[in-house]
Parts: sequence; structure tokens; C-alpha cells
Amino acid sequence: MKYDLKDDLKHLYRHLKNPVNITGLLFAAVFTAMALNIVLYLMNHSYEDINNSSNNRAVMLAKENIRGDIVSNDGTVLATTRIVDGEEVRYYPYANLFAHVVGYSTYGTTGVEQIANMRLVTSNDTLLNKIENDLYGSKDKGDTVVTTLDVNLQEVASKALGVYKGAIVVTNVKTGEILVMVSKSDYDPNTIDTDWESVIADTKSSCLVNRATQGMYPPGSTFKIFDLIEYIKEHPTDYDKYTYTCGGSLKYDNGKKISCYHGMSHGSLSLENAFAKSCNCAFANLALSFDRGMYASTLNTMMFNEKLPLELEYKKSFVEIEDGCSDSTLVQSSIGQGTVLMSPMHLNMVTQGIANDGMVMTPMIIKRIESSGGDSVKIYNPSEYRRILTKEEADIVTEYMRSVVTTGTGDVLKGSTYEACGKTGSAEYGTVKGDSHALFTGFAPMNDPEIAVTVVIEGAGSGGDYAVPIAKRIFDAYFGESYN
Amino acid sequence: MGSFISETSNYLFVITILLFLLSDVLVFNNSFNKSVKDIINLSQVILGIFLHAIGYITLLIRSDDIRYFFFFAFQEIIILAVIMIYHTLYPKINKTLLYNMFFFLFVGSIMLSRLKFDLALKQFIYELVILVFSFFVPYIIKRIPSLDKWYFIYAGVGISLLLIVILAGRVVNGSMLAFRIGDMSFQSAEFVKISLVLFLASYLANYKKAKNYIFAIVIALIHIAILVVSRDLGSAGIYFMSMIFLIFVSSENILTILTGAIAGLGSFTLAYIMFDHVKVRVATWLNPWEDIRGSGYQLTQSLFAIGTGGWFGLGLLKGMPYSIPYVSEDFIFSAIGEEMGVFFSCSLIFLYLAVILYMFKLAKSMKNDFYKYTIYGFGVSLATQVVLTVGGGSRFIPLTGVTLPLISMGGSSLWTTILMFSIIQGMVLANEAEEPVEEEEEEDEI
Repeated sequence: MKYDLKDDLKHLYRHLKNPVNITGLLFAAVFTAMALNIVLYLMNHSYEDINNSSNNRAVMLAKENIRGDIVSNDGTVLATTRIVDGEEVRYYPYANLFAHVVGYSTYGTTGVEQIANMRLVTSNDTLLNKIENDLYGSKDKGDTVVTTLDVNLQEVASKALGVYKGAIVVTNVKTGEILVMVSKSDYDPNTIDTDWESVIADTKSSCLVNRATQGMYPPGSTFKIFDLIEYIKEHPTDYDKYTYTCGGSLKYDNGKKISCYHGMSHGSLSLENAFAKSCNCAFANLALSFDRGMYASTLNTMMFNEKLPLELEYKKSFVEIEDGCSDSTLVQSSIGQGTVLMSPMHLNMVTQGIANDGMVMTPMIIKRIESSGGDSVKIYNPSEYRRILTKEEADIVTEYMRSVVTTGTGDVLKGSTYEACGKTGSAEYGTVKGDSHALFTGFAPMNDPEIAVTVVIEGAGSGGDYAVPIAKRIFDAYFGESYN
Repeated sequence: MGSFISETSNYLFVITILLFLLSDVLVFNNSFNKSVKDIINLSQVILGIFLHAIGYITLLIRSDDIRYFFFFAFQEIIILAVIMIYHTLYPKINKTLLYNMFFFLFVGSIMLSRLKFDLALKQFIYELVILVFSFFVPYIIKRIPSLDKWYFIYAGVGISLLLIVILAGRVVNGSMLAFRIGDMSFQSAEFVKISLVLFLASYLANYKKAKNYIFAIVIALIHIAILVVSRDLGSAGIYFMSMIFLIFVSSENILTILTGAIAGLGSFTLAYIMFDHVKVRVATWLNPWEDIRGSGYQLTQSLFAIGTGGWFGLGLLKGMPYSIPYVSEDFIFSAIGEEMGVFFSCSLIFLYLAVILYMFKLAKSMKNDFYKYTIYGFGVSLATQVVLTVGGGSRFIPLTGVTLPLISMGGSSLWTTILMFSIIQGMVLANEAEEPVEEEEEEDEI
């Protein structure tokens, strides 16, 4: 028989004309869409939904299975379940070191213990093991959560911060992986359930707060990064023509006055010099020239007054700059004082974005989920969160942040081979003049950035003197230089 | 052995339902001769019993409750007897349709037994009563050739049944749905699904002019209006779809569906503006997490169940389906997803689709328009019901609270669906008794 397309089409048309067939096709489409909707739900969203405190199934599964391990990026155990006298006891080998980021699950849940709760109580053990467990009446072992945390760097950072209160965040510039998250004061998650009363009674140290994400600090001069960005955005061609002569203080708004750190007078400055030497007067003067509405929207893009793409508990950063805000608000905010508040994590994300050619990556704390036997259950891939700068803008900011190290307040890092870039900050707080938090945020190497480091030390003094050396120890450890 | 079966049961369930689906696709195809078809049909019975057995063995092992064994044996004996009686009474009965019906009933009996033993027992008694009654249905259809002239009776019965509820009914979950005779609670809206399709099918088979549609629509809209007043929007939706599609099949005009879609959306908008409970349903659908302890409770618990169960489920008796209110009626699909897995529950969706497409195929082979429209109408009614309950529980569409045919708890729903299946059986048998005509070739099933 000869094949005839026309006949075939006629045949198809006759079929499609039949109302019963049309109805069949319609329902087939709806049923398929409905099944697909469930499949997609399970693939994409169901985990965020079911890891909810209202889902009592987590409690049920926790009784059914042995809570799985939390491990570092190289498989070192950070949290595990041990059987002591027939009882399951959660054990944290590093005690205080990962207290906030790994969290605890003995008295409620926090940190990774919280965001991966459902994973830890779900067992994807092999069928054979499950049958064996069933036969012997033992429980199945929950899945292992592989984090992005680096034990070695976390130790270095924690040691470097020493007895100070504060926070350190280190992320991978290309992927947004969180390598280090230190917060002090801390506590021992092994004994948190018995220590609970004394821990919450000690309101002075607030050791339960994860300062890296929940700490609200005045950013001080690190905020000049945002001033610089806004000035470049408003003057894309002639931003480097700006000059200013610093006499140590600036008068504005009929008699109000701001001064440079310790009243220093910087003399005649280019924009790059002003940034490197962190001249308050030059930047206050710069800020007074801004279109305030535009600056507010730039700051929104930079995630101020906005949610962060962070699963860990955090606080939203705050800035008061808006269209029509007062000179005083603008000037105070432009040097990171007054009402502006930021979390160290947020500052780190912006730094990471600058280093990554303007693209902020979604911070990652969980790398993958494995069954207790080591089979991969789910792999999390890095994802772009938001472009905060064009590549050209990011390059300029990088260059300026490099001169902070070569000619400015970050000169402690000058001699290092890895070409660090950054910005220091000394943020005054409280009522006593002169008390300040030391800040540094930066990345290295300049040409192909690998890690972004943010350091906040409460009440230590100037960023250049206290925060930069700590950052240096972390950079040194990462890039393999020995230090003493 | 026991541990092996209970730990692997969920995989066995998936394999079984996929094989059953495959057997359906094979048997719907006319290219096999009768003996091959018989073998496939036989394997369908075996697959059904296998699924049933795995389910009850798992329940028995995990609960150590010996009643599960006796209940399983009891059901098997009765159902095999019923199948034998069917074959004796009607040697030409459509086995495919019959065995598909039993497969759904088996899934339902496993899930209901898991939820509550007494519930499953009660449901099985209902099942038994209607199965015995349905022995007579094909006989009645064959013996009363004037069934297609009874349209006023169908309309009268349907409207009266619905009105009884309004006048003598009691309020269940905020909707007036049921009236009681003695200990039995009758949900009229269920039975009227049948009478409404019979009315539309018989009337449209007799009067094919466009002006006659108006009368058919008016009568159908009276049904729907009563339901809207009694706040049963799910059933109202099912009636509406039956009406639109039956007029479509009779008029063969695609504009019917477009008009129906516009009218449907229009009335939904109107209902949204008029009724607060509709507003709540829509808001919950859009964001169930807003009020997780209040209006969003049912839906979020349902999503927890599906999500926690994952691809292969937590295993029978290992989940917490009872956290979902009305789990045995409106949310049994989510309970199946939780404990038997999403692979299984999605396969179940396609099994429903297969049966509905098979009904459409049977409808096309009818020589008599009344039969054709009736079978087609039942298919549309069941399909809509599946979409409303599965889609509602999985946040595909807003929640309306209807049952999953042949699986959910509820005597009225079960009786209605089994009656639909037996009426289809009767019509197929009556159709074959007439002189055979060339059957139209069929396209793919899924």
C-alpha cells in the first residue's frame, strides 16, 4: 500500500473532530498536568515546606530513625548521635567552635540542625540495611548533611578572634559557599540543655545569638563602599575627577559637624585616596551631592531593608536614607554611623558580589545530602542571587579596595603575595566617644578572587589595627602562608 | 520473609500498579484476539489480588493484629465469588472494566484498613450490598428498553432528592449534604450525579435541536443552583461539567466548551464575590502557609503528607495521615502519597485516566445515542471528581472537598460509583445484544 500523508491527515482530522476524542485529550492533558504538578512539587519545593515546625512528622521520624550526622566540607564530623547506655545522645566533637552555625537539636533546634532537620531524621539507607535493621529491631540511621564549612579555617578564625566578642564570615567568592561562620560569645552545644537556665540568665554576653547573621552592627567606614558605588553610578565617566581637601572636619546643615577618625586632617585627596585613607569629610561631602531617592534604591539593590536569601535565622539590615531624608541622616549614614545597621553576613555578601564581578551568589551552607552509607541523595548547586554591579563598576570598586591595602588603612595586608583588597571600618557605638567596633571586609586575590572575609570585633578599636590582622591570619591560612 | 515483604512493599506496590497500567494499555488495544485478551484479563485479577495481599501482609506484620488476616481472606472469598457470579450471570461481561473497578477497590480497602480497621469493615459491607444489587442492573437495562424515554423521571428524582436534603438535611462540615434514614446517611448529591447524567443523556438523545438544549440546561441549572445554595461547590462543579460536556457531545460544536469555560469562570467569580467560604478557599489555595493553624491547616497537612512521603512513601502505618482532617474522605489521596509514595499515587492518577479513556472508547462503540451519552457522561463526571479531589489536595486547584472514586470512605460515594460501573456494564451488554457494527479504530490511550 502506498503511503499517503493526505489520507493520514484526513484520518487524524476525523479523529479530532469527534467530541469524545476531544474530551479524552482534554482530560488526558489535565490529568498529566496534575501529576506533573505533584512531581515538580516534590522535586523543587517540598523540602522547604515540610521542614516546618508545624509538621509533626519530623517528631515522628525522629523517634523512628537515629538522627544523622552533620559533617564539614571534607567529611569531618561536626555533629553525630552516640548511643550512651542505650540512650541516643547528640554529640558535637568541636564543642563551642561551631556552636551557632551547626546549632543544637537538644533544646529545640537552631543552625544547620534546624534548617536540615527533616533531612537528618529521614533515612535513605539501602533497602538491604533497612531489612537488616528491621530484623534486628534496630533503628535506621538518618541521612548525613554535608556542609560547606571548613574546619581548619574555622579554627584559625576562632583563634584569631580570641576572647573578643564579634563575628567572622568567610565565603567562597565563586559559589557563595560559607566556609567559616564564627560568632562569639559562644556556648557548648553538648550541654546546652543542662546549661539552659544559666545561659539565658547571662544577658550580657547574649551567647545564643549568632552574631554573624543576627548581629546588628553600625558598619562604620565599610559603608563608604556603598557611597563609592553610588558616586560611580551617578558619575560613570568622570568619577575619578573628584577631589577634596580635608581639614579634619566638615560643617553642614547650619552648624552640625563631623570629623575624621581621631580628628585627623587628610589634606588634598583624590577619590581613590579618600577611600583608601577612609576620609569621613570627603565622603560626607560626596554624599551631600547624591540624588537621595536614587541612593535609596541603590541601597535596596544592595539588600538593605530587604530579606536576605538565607535559611539561617538572620536580621534584616537597616538604613534610613530615602528620598527627602535630612542632611544629618544622610551624612551620618554615609560614614556608617547614626541609624544604619548591618549584619556581618550581609556585608560579606556584598563583598562577595564585588569580588564576583558584581554577581551576588546565594549563600550556601549545605553542599549535599548523603545516605548514612554515603550514597548521594541530593546535591545543592551554587546559584546566582542578584547582580548588584556591572562588571565595569565591580572592577573600579575592586581597584579602590586594592588601594586601601596598598596605600591606606589596610596596609597590614600590603606585603602578602595574594594581593588582598578590602575596606576597614571603625564604628563608634554607645555614648562614650571613642569606643568603636573594628571592622574589615575584603577578598583575595585581586585578579581572580577566591574567598571573601568579613571580620567584626566588638569594642576593639580601629579596623586597621585590629580587624585587618585577623583577616590576614585567615587569608594566610587559606593561601598557605605560615604565621605565628 | 515478613521483614522483606513489609520493607519492600512500597516497591512492590509501584511495580504492581505499573504492570496493571501496562495490562490496561494492552487490553484497550483491539489488536489482540480473544484468548490473548483473556490471559491479560486473568493477569489483571492476579495483579489485583497480589496488591491486596502485599498490603495486608504489611499491615499484619507491622501491627501484629491478626484481624487483618481474616479480613483479607474474607474479602478475597467474597470478591472472587462476586466475580464468578458476574461471569455466570453475564458470560459476556466486560472483564477489563470489572477488574479495573476491583483494583481501585483493593487500593481503597488497604488504605482504609490502615486508617481504621472498623472503617474498612463498614465500607466493605457497603461494597457488598451494592455489588449484590448491581447483579440486577444489566438485566434491568436489557429488559426495559424505554429507559431512554424516562427523562422527566430522572429530572424529577434528581431534583426531589436534592430538595429533601435542603428540607430535611443536616449540616455536615458547613455544607448541607446528607439526610438520614435510620442509621444510614444518604448524600443525595452523590446519587444525583447518576440521575443528572441519565436525564441529560436521554433528553439529548431524543431531542437534538438547539432549542431543546435550553430546556436541558435549565433543568441542569436547577440541580446546580440547589447545590450552590447548600454550599456543595464540588458536586456543583461535577454537575456543571457533566452538563457542558454532554451538550458538547450531542451538538458536536466546540463552541459549547468555550462557552462553558467562560460561563464556568463567570459563575466562579460570582461565587467568589458572593460567598465568604469561597474567598477563604481561594486565599488558602494561593497561600496555605499564611494561616497554618487555621484555614490553611488541611491543605498544609496534606502537603506535609505528600512531601514527607516522598517518591516511595514512608510505608503503611509509618506515617501520620490522621493529622489531615477528613483524611479518609477528602484527603485519602494525600494519605496514599504519604505512605505508599508519590510514584504510586501518580500512577494511580494515570490509572484513573486510563479507565476514563476506556469508558470514552466504550461510549464511541455504542449504537444507541442514549447509551453513548450516558457512558460518556459518567466518564466526565468521574474524571471531574478525580481532578477536584487530587488537584485540591495537591494545591493544583482550590480545595472543594469531594471523594476519590472507589477509594475514599463513604457509602453514598461508593454506591454511586459502583452503580455507574454496573450501568455501563449493562449498556455494553445490551449494545452487544443488538446486531454488531464495525467498531471505529482507536488512537493511543494515554
